[in-house]
Amino acid sequence: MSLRRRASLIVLAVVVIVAGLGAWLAPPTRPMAFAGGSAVTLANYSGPDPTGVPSELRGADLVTRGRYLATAADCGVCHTAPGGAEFAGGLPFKTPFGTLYSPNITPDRETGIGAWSEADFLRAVHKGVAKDGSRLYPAFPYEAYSLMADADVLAIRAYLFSLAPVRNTPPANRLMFPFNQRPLMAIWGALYNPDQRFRPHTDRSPQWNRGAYLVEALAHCGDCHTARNLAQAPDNRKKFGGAVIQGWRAYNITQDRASGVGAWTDAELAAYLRGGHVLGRGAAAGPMAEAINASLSRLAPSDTLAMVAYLRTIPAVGSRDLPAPKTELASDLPKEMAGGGDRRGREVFAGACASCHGWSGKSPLFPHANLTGVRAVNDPSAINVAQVVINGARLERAGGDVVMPAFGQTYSNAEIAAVANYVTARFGSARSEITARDVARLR
Amino acid sequence: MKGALARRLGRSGDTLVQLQTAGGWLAFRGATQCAGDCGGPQGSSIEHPEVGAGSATMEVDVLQPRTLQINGEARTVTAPDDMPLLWVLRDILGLTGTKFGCGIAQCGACTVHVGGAAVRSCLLPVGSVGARPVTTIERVGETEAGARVQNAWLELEVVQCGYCQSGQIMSATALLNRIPQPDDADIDAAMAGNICRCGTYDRIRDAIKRAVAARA
Amino acid sequence: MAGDTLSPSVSRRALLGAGVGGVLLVGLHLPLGGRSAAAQPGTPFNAFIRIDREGAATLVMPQVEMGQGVYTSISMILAEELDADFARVRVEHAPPDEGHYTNPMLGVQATGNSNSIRAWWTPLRKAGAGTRAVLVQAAAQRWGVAPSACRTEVGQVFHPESDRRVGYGDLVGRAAALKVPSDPPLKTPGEFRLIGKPLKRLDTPDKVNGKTVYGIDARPPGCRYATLMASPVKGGAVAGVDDTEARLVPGVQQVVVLEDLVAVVGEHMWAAKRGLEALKITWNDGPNGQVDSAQVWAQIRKASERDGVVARQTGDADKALGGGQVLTGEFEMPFLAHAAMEPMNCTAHVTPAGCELWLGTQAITRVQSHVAQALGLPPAKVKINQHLLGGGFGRRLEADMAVKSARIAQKVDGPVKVVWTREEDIRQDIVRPVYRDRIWAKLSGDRITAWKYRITGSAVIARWLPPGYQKGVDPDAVDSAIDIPYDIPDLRVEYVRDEPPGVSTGFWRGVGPNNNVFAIESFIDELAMKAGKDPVAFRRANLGKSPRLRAVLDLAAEQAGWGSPLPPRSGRGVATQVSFGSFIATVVEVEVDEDGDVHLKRANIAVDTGIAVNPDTIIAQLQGGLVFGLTAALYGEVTLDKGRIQQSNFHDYRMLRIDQVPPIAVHLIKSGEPPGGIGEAGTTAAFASLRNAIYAATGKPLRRIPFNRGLLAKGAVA
Repeated sequence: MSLRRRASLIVLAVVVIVAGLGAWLAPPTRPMAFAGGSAVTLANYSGPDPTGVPSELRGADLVTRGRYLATAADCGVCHTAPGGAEFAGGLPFKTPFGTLYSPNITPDRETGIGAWSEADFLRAVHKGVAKDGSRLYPAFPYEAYSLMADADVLAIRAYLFSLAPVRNTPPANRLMFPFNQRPLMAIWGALYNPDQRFRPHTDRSPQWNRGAYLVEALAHCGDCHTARNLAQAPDNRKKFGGAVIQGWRAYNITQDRASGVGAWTDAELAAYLRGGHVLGRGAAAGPMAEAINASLSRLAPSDTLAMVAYLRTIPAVGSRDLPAPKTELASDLPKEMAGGGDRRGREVFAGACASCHGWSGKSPLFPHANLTGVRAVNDPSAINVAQVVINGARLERAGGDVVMPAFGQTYSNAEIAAVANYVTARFGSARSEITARDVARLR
Repeated sequence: MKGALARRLGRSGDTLVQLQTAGGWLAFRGATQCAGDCGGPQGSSIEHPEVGAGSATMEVDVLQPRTLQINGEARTVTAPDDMPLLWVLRDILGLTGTKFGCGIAQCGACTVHVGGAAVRSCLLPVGSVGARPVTTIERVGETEAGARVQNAWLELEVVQCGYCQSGQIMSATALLNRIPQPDDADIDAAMAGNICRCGTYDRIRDAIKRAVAARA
Repeated sequence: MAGDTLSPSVSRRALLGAGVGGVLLVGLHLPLGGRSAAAQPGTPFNAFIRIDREGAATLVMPQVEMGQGVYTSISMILAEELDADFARVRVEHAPPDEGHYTNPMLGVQATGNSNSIRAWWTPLRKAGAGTRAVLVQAAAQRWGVAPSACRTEVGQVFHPESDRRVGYGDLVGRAAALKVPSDPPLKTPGEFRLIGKPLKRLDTPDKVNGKTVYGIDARPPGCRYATLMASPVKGGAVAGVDDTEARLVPGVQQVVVLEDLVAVVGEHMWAAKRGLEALKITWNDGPNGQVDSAQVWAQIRKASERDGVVARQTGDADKALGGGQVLTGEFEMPFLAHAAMEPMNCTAHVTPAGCELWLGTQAITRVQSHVAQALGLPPAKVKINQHLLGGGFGRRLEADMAVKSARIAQKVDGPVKVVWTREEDIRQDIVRPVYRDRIWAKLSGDRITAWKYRITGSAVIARWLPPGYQKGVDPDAVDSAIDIPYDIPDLRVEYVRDEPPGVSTGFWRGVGPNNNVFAIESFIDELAMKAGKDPVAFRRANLGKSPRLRAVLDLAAEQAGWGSPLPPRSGRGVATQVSFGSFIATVVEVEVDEDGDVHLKRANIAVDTGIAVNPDTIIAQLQGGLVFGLTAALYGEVTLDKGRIQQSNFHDYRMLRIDQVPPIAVHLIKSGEPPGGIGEAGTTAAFASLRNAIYAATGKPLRRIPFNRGLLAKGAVA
């Protein structure tokens, strides 16, 4: 769901730009600037090609390769409406300025992209310009996709064109003035989309370069995990340092040991990317669970390892408000708790939560439900704890999905705030103070 | 196509094996990992993580029998690791006193004791039970606390339709075993996960207090 | 398995008996198989009583046990007049047999409307007394004395003059040849030895040790397990099924695709459940595919604008309401799901010879006839094994679960147990209908002088029992409204039938009285406020013609400490009702916190239900019924979107839990009147008493169930 908040943030960006405050909106640091060293064009790179598909798929046909790349770029999540046909568009992105709908990218000639030439498609993915010349809203992460090699973009097109055309016209965007003026998006694009293909670093390993390509060009991780500057473009000086987007907190994934993932082992990072869960560190929920379900869990193991290798080199950025997760279990006795805990929080926890999560933070049922050590539980904002209570969570597994039910419909804001504060106090390193009003804003 | 690709990729790389071993997520695509004090994985195949596939890489598991300690007896069953204990008890062993109510650990009707603790069997993978003893409603009355609880239930005429009461009694017995003199807050915490649609809650609370008082 | 019986171990009973000193503890004898009464041991004296040579009485239950304690109460009534040894009675489910077990108040063999005791009170007493009469006659013949010189007690006839005694068992042979009188003399209440005592329930011992076999526990030999998904939209159909992955799930044996549902059959429920999750089903939604809750409410609100069919008229309410200050109120109740703890299920075995079913049902002959019709069989070919019910609440008055199972079983070799997931149970509920009740009233001082009341909602009776739907009035929908207890000179009650789109509507614990008592008693509080009167005093002033209700009102108020001061944002609410033949007043006390969450503090219920057959059961039913209603009042609502029920399990269809439920005290008024109904009355009592407590605590006059807690937050504006 990364695109949703992008939409609102980017629309904000337009305001800022239109206001003519561009003077101090310096063009952003490039996403891989931290790596230093020397970067060369793909054509001038002598190592193994970091673009394309992993070696296991090298012999596959174009459509298969395109499908893999489309999965890695997570196209389907945004271009599919709930209950709608895959890639037929129509997913709404609600912003304070109106609602955007993702377009149909099936090969239907009238309502999809069936009439788009290869050049049309390349221009859209790299430059954010549609076939008819109109500017796409940067809810579409073309500033990341512009790193993608032409061959990969065309493979994705080949895959999309291999699908059955679906006739579906998503609703028209409903944006207020001036955000409904598409040409203005050209300004944002000019400032923040370098429109430059991926450049491998010659002093880094082939695995690192492959990981960089996956993380930056395809998976567009920075879209959520990097805070934005005033123009709402990713501020790569705090690359992957975490951000709050669309009501969820995308955590710090830098190498900071306390607040980032510096203390995680390679195997843990890999397991998380593939399965959304690591014993002692927690399970993914919200937008990250969507990314894992639809994209990251489906990558080749060699690609997962490459992403891990790249992530390992991201400079540490400390998030001062995020303490290192508490690793000791809480008491197994409900009443034993430092500070006693809020009575209502305990009541909600006892009724709805304890059966799965246990009183100690170690689930009596399965490790996905452990609370001890989980980043969100050790986040004194309690944003993600509240979100997961409201919306539940689902991680797809071949052996049956791992599911937490969504309690938002029947539990009040005050109850959700109480249980979130109870959970952070009981299992985390710092008690949160989230209020009913805060919870209302998260819904 | 999907499946073929998945199988090919899933079985291909050394990388994969390395990942599995290093990361301890061996069982990720297959049985749920063991929550803790459980025996080694029994039987089932190592399922490969799928790659590039939208759906399951189904392999027909060759299941090995496993032995469980149920109500003081060793019972051998053949069931996949991820099969909840509830269905092993009800559908394989015929111990139907343990009830299915919600399947998501929200109602407590399926509560049994595993290693002495009250656990919702509807979500507990049988593969994680290991050697821990399991006690169900059929035999909890043979324990000292269980008998006290059942007697108190009868004395105060707690039961209406009775469907949830197996779980209520198992939760209450586990409470008394852990906290011999529970106060109202202890009772709330231990019993709030057990729903009674007939609304017998007041009597459940009174019966727990009666069971406490009946302790010799 | 079939033919086995269950009974608690003697040692356990002895042990327990010692613990409760002097209270009778007896066993429940339930044949698991569907053996006919004739095959059972003992000599039948009528459809309800058999006595064997050892003198043990087997009592056949014309009503079903779903938690309301009716097996015990019915046994007490029969045993009372029979003077049977209650410690030795055995209880048996009645087979489907309209000839013998038709509920006299419903006209069908069914358990509902809280009328088991009301309906069977006299017939069962006569059955017991008639049997006793022939036993006495047999003893008298044996001894050559006059029957009038003999007495009975605890399973024996004795002749005081000669001090001779004989057990019923020894009289069975001779008595069986005698004609059982149809109108024997009955005991006077003063002679009751069982009725009125809080006897232990017969079904409890096996329910605390896991031995009770509910329908969901039936396991006929060779049984397979199945679970299903039916069209999530009413009237929809299966468009396509991709079962490739489902068939790969270990343990899955078969995928059954019918027009409107798909079922997966496996070695156990887990295989079936995983198989179902792995299916890719596409649906043709049909005409209801776009129905949503907004449409439902728009429709019923519009319907409630039109005049209804007059259900009761006294004086001329329209004329009386023609001028002056008319006070109005509109009250709404949502769709509600039953969510019995035992999810819907039915085990079925279809063979060329017929169909055998295992389930717990409130309407056994309905199940039989509906299944027979679905399979094209004569009803006699549908054999039903009745079980105890893990909750009914009206849901098990329907036959859909049995029909679906039988249709699936037609495609399966051998018996198949079809268990619904909780999600299916809620999505496919036959919901309590939405209701909208409108009131127009006029006050003169503290007296209500005119009252017009219009009920708008579904006519469940018209579907479920068509002969009961006469002249456009659903007698259930207007129950407790046409018999409003207040003394009002100009009164008019109307009914507008409006069938909501997209759902099937059914009976739900408390039925018609729920919405009517909610609307009436909530509005009475608003009238009291208008009149500047205390809610209890205002009710007393208007209850001149209902002394029984005034008495319970006074008792409830006294017990609740009515009028004593309470902390801020706390309040007491009162509601009275005459429902199911019982007179009830309820006082609920709450605290509403600043966030708008409602905390239940205590409840007092006073009841005059006539002769209390088993007082402890009455107390239990009012306690539990109140919790059922409070749950709905606070959380209950089923909503629709795209024709689909949006709720699925207890996380989004929420239940009160033990730590939220207050102490509930029940106070019985001793009465010699015939028994009233009690199973649903506590539920009916909940809505208005809680609403009025919130009204007292916050001043917010809520008019819609479930209560919108958002409106109750400090500073919130309605």
